[in-house]
This record gives sequence, C-alpha cells and structure tokens, in this order.
Amino acid sequence: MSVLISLCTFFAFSSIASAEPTVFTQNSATTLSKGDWSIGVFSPLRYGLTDTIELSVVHPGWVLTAPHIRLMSQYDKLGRWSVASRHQLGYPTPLLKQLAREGTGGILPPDSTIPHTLVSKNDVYFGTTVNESEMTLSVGFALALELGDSDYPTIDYAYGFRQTNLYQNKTALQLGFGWEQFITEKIGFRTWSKGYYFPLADEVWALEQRDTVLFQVSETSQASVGVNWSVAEYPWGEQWHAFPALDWMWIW
Amino acid sequence: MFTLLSFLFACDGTTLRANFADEEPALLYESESKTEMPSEKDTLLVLNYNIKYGGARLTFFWECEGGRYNMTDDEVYTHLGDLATFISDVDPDILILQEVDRNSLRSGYIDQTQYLLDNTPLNYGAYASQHQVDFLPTDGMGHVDFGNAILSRWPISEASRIALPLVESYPAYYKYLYLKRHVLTAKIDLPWNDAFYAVNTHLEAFSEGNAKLNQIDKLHSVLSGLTEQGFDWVAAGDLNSLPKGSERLSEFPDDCAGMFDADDYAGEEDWMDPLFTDFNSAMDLDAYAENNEAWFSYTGDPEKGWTRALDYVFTNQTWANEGADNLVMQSVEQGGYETIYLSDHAPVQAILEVQ
Repeated sequence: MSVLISLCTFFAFSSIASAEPTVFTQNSATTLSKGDWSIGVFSPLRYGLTDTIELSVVHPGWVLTAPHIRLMSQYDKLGRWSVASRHQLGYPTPLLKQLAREGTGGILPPDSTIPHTLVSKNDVYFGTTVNESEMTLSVGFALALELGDSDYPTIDYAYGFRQTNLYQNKTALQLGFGWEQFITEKIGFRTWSKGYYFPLADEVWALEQRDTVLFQVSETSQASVGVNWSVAEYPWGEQWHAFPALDWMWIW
Repeated sequence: MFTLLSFLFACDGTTLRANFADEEPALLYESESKTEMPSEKDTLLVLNYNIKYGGARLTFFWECEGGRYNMTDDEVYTHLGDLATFISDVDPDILILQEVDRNSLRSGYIDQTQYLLDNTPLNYGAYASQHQVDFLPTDGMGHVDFGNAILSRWPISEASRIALPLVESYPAYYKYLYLKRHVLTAKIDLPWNDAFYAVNTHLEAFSEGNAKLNQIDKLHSVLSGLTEQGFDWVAAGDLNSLPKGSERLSEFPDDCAGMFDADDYAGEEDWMDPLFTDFNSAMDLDAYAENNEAWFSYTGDPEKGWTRALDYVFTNQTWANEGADNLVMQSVEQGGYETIYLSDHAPVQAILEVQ
C-alpha cells in the first residue's frame, strides 16, 4: 500500500514541473525530418514525408478499431515563431461498436445504435523558444458527421467524454498550450494543456493536461512518466480525474 | 494490468470514486416550496418503499427476460410522476425509500430524491449512496449513483451514512465496483420531540457467505445504540430476508429458471430474530405465520402476484392501534392502491404512536 501511496504522491508532485517538446512530441510546430520514422508505446506511428510534411496514423495496435490519418505541414517562420498545421480524419465507428457490449468492458450499452461517424480535427501550432524552453500554442476546430440513426449515450468519463460529445454535437473549438524544458542533458519536463469548447452541446467544456518528466535515453529514444489530468462538465456536474501518463518513444 | 488496477484502487479519489468512509455525512435535501409542518400529531404515518430507481415494470438486463439498459427521460418522469401521485395520495409523514437514483446515466441523470420532494407534500430529505462509481464499465452503465433516502415533513438536522460489512468472498476488483450497503440515519426535528431518528437500510440481495447476517447484526447494533442514547426511532428497509414462519423459502413462482440461480432463503430463517425480539415490528410474526401472503412485498413478475416478504418496519416505540393499521399496500383490496405496476416492491405502511 505504501508503494501505491508513494506512486500517487509522485504523480501528484510531478505536475508541479512540466512542459512540451519538439521532435518527440506530436503537439508542436515541428515536423519530423524527411525519411524519419517515430513510434511510441502509446503514441502513433509518424513518418517524415518531406522536411516539412509529416504523416501519421493511429498506433498500429488500434488501426482496425479506430482508424485515422493525420497530416502535419510546417510553414515559413512568422518572426521567431515556427508555424505548422495538423489535419486529421478519423472513423471511430468500429471502436464505438466494440465498446457497446454486455458484461465487463461494456463501456456503452449493448443496445446502442452506433452510426457511421467521420471526424475531422484541425489545429494550427505556433512554437517558439523562451529562455531555452520550447513554448507551443495551438488553436483549432473539429467537426463530426454522423451518417444514419444514432442512439447511444456519451461516454461520461475522462477523454471518452470530449470525443463522444464531439461526435454527437458536431463541433468543437480547441486551444492548446505546451511547455518543455530540459534541466540537465538527460532530464526535463513537459506540460501540455488543451481546452475544448462544444458550442452545440448541453455540456460545453472539457480541459485536459498532461504533465510528464522526460528521460532522454538516447538521441533517438525518450521515455516519459507523469500524470494526465482531466476536468470537464458532465451531465451530472463538473468532475476531475487523474491517471498515470507513461510512454517510451523512438525515432529512427 | 495489476499495476494499473492497483493505481486505480489506490487513487480512488482521482479515478472512479467508488469508496466510502465507515461513517460519513449523508446528503441533505429540501423541497423547492414547503408544505404545512404540523406542530402536533398523535401518530406518524411511515411509508417504506423500494422504488426500483423509477423503473416501474420495465424489465432490465438484470431481471428475468429483461433487455433494457437505460431509460428515456420520458419513461423516468412518467414512472416518478406515478410514484409521486401515489405518495401524495397516501400523504406519509416520513417516507423511507430504497433504490433511489441520483444523477445516474440509466435514469437520465435525474435526481429522484429532489423530484419526489418537489412533487409530494414532503419537505426535507437525506440521501446516501450504496453504489457510486464515476464510471462503471459494465453493460454500459456509466455514471452510477444509486442509494437510499429518507423524506420527511419536518426538517432533518443531521444524517449519516454508516457502512455495512461488504461481501468478503467477492474478488477485490468486483468488491471495489460493487454495491456498498449502508444504514442511513436521519435526525428529524419533530416539533414535539427533539430526539427522534428515522433509519433506512437495504441489505445484500444474495447470501454470499455471512454478508447478509453480518449486515443484520450491524443494523441491530446501530438501532440498539440509538435506543441506548435515549433516542426514539423508526427503522425501515428492504432486508432481502424472510422471517420465521415463512411457508416457502425457495422455488418461488417468479424464479427465473435457466437465467439466474433460483432464490433460496433456507438456513436464514433465524437471522432476523434479534430484530423481532428486541424491537417492535410493524408486522406481527403471529399474523404473518397465519397468512404469509398478506405481508408479501416483492415480486419479480407482476403476472405471478406478490411472492415474498422482504420489506420491514421496526421501532423502539409503540404502533398505533396495536399495529392493526400496519400493512403492505399490495392492491386496491389491501391498501387501496394497485401498486404492482409502480415497482417490483410494494410499499409498507406503519402508523407510529408519537404522543
């Protein structure tokens, strides 16, 4: 038990110092170099098509249940700001159908009617260096289109809620802020916050934050450990949750 | 997976919020507008009712041949409206409710305690959850808050949720996400008596080991404690137990052959004896032995009629008219209302002498 309490405490304190990187993060104004590949234990597969265009797909473990494709394009600098845009097209229907089941693991009721759903997410990223730290801002919107009858509840829990709230209410506006700083050559921290506003929904906002300590294992490998925070307005009121954030990424 | 589950359980306050303290304050409610609160009464009409979270006779996935998961808002409001009409007609002074939803996905996130306060002559309420999980990943249940409530004509100055023993034989993850039974106590400020409690409970439905017996013992201990402290009290609930004198302990007409294990109360006949011996039961055991059926308060199948007695009212005071007016409101013939379509339980009426 004491080990678990220590873990909780560690995750809680790790949020005090946190931030956002460049090549190792998906949430920055920097794309992979041409021909480079990247993948993480929990991160998507990315590929540098050119020095300014990066293509990524969902993590291979999820490719059949939640297929999506993402294109990131880097533009000319605006003063000291790097600029990039990211465009994603996804099809979450197979995943939602898998989640609607009887018994344990039934995230959605088995009698749910899940429509074909197409989702487009679009963000513009602005990145700059501040006192040897990387700062990133993002602004964007998402659109969802349901084709056919739809009758299932939103997944009223962290992460699932803002996704299904978007699917059922068609539109979301998104704002992001990231910060990454290395304290030593090998150890740094990263924080990434993103707010969602759903103008057509009854429950209109969600906020997520990921705070991690970074371990630069090598030039091509980075591990991170920390905590994911989520707070949102649910049908019964506001609620927050926290979970461990773990990943190990490689670039080659 | 073990590490992740351990993290979730250990950090319950940040993840699923499914745990309770051994004793904690219950939630207090007030109706939107107040009705008359008499300053004197000779008797109190107490009504105990398991309302099946406003599900009436819809058959849910956990019932025989049931296929329903979540209700529509219209269904919930219709069922709650029928219950409110019945309760308003009966006009109890104290209403003791089991299986009340508070902001659960399956019942349209409607706060049923607040709804019943706003739509009946009752003015104050106390609620305690017996199943609270931020997100229950089973059968699409999602957010669950399901419990027991006490509603009163007069103010409730304090209310507590006292945890009952859990079913120890369940695996840790199941025990964590499963129902956690309790005793709800509410101190009601009667204008003529400042030492009066109403008590509510809903015990384990399935006899896994000695869980239900341990819960009955704890209930007895809470009630004895109130008496020792000089309080008057009325206690009611769905005890999921059959009393001594029951002619049938198994093979009930509403058993669901093939789908669930048939209910079998054999070996439990003595479990409630301390309650009947040490306190005054609204149901006289001799009267029950003479005619079991008159005290039946539950059926899983309305076509089969009421099949067993599960709901009880006790006090450390005296029943009015020597208990002759206490009854299970089963039908127009017995109680004046056809209640079999309002819930899977029938309401139990008991009239307490208070002055």
